[in-house]
Amino acid sequence: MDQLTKLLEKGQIDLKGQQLAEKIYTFTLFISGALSILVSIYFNEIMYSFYGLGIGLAVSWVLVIPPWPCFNKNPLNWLPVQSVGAAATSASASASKKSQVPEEEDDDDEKAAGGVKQTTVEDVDDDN
Amino acid sequence: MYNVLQRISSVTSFGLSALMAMMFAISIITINMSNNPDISVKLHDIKITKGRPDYFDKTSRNAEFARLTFDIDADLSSMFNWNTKQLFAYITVDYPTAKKKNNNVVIWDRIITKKQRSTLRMRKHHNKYLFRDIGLKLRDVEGAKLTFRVNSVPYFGIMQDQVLDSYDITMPQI
Repeated sequence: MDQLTKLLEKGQIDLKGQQLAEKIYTFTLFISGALSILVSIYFNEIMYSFYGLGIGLAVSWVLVIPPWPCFNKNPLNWLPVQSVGAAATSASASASKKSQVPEEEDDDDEKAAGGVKQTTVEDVDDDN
Repeated sequence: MYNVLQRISSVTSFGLSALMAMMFAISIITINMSNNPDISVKLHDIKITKGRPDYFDKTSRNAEFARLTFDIDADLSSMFNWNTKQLFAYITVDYPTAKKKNNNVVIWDRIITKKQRSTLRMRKHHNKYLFRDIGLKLRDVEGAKLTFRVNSVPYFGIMQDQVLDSYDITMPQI
């Protein structure tokens, strides 16, 4: 069961890919539904419309569910991981790159890191 | 939409919504497809007898029962379209009495499930079900009508009850 949930949580795609996937399955299912109604009108057989929609659902499964490479073309650029404990060395080095984080907080972190022992600061970080 | 499980869920739920929309569209498209069935019912005679022993229904000793003899020629094949599951064809006698304004008694019916069996040709057929009135008397009834109705049952959509033909009949006075 754990393995199954791990398997199902795999295959992550980026935000643009999610948008694209939604467009693809909406289009596929809409077109297959409309086409299958036309086919069943032509052949005078009602079950054809259900077979048609079932085929459309299977096709959209194949198109959307696996994490195809086209869904991962625009990966998100996350900020680099910073550990509060090692702020004195690494954070000051990368402080110039961080545009979103205000500088004052950085200063506070550095002061806290300087004042308190390293182990306690790491505990606070885990709780957060 | 982030991982495989979420994508399975959203695609399948949208597929089921599409299924519902498709069924709704089918029921709208086929709601009034053209049909022009040929019906003719010819009534030969009505016989009324009184009394019929029934252990469970004591009133049936005093009630009057009518026995109809009729011919049916019907071609209902044009009522079948691709969304028709079956046709329920039935004949009712509609008549007013002093107590009740509107009485409909079903005297014959048939379920037609295939287009190949939708042509009916019956000669001197009797009513399939008992025909009696709740007020026991049938002799004084005036203004009775023999009505051929068809209820077409679709796979998806609403059932439509149609009066296809109606004939005035006179009950025997004696």
